Amino acid sequence: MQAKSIRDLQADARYSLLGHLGISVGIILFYLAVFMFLSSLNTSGLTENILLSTLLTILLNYLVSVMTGIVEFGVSYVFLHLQLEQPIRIQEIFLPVRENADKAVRIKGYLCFLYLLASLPSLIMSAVMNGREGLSYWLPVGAALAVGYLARLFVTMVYGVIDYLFVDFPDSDAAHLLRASRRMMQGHRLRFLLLHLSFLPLHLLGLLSLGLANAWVSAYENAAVAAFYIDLLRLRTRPDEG
Amino acid sequence: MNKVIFQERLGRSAVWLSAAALISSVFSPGIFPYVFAVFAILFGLLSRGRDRRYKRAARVGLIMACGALFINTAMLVYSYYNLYTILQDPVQREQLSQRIYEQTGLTLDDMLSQFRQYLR
Repeated sequence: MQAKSIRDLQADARYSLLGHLGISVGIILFYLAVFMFLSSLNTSGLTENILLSTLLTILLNYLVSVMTGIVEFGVSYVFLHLQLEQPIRIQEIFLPVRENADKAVRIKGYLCFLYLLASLPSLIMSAVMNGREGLSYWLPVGAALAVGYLARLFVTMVYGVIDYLFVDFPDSDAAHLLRASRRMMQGHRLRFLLLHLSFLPLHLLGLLSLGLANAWVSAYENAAVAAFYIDLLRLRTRPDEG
Repeated sequence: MNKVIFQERLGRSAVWLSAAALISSVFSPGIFPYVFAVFAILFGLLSRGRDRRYKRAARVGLIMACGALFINTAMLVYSYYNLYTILQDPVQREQLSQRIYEQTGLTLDDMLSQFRQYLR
């Protein structure tokens, strides 16, 4: 049994969105609204101590990431149900999170901690290079940013389907879900990356509309990731494995 | 509801949006043609579903939207090239400045310096 191609996954995504653009774009806009609201919180003015202010900013960013990460479970719920052609009830979108709040926080806390570790090189480098200007600042900081970005990308590729696993298997514990995501993504990480990259031209086109169309592109992308998850499940339960 | 109905609706929406993009690109080039054209392209793409080929309406919408993008870009480039040419010629620049002053009370240099301050 072969894995579906990027084109087939996109076709499944388009099919699942037919007749459901309203709710799929709506949940994306809700996620963006929550993200923008939480991102507007800042710790400036709380303290004059630079080190303390930096630590508070890092802590606040971490908490914001965890909270917006929890909203992502709701997004995954919508697109998974669209893919499975199951009805979506608004009041049930965050039901998995409500019923397993501690597990949701543990999963997102762990992932956001990994992202924080990935961003540490750039934070340390910008603190060390503070005071320098031009290339002598941007070269090392840029290199550290690139390393951090690649590390973050790798984490995303390893745990790419964790949101769908959480929604699909609410009875499993957090550690089991994280292990399952790592196992499922083995051999499919590059395909996952290529799937995301295939939407880059549409995202760039969306910029021409002042970013308005990017919500629709994100809905299309999320639907494709849900199709990718369903395909992974199909491959893992093929008949010869029993 | 049948998925085909939604495909047809999206295709028709793509046609209407691309028509709006075309008309606005000719009479009012700027941001709106881009917005209409991008949404037309997106709706046209999404209307395909699992089909191998686009339905006729979606195809028409996609072609018209791409045309609108091209026309709008060409109109904007031409407008800015014209403006650049006028600004380089002292006589035309003075005429433009006089026209702007009659309408707004500001000279061209005043407007440009305000614009530079805004960019900073």
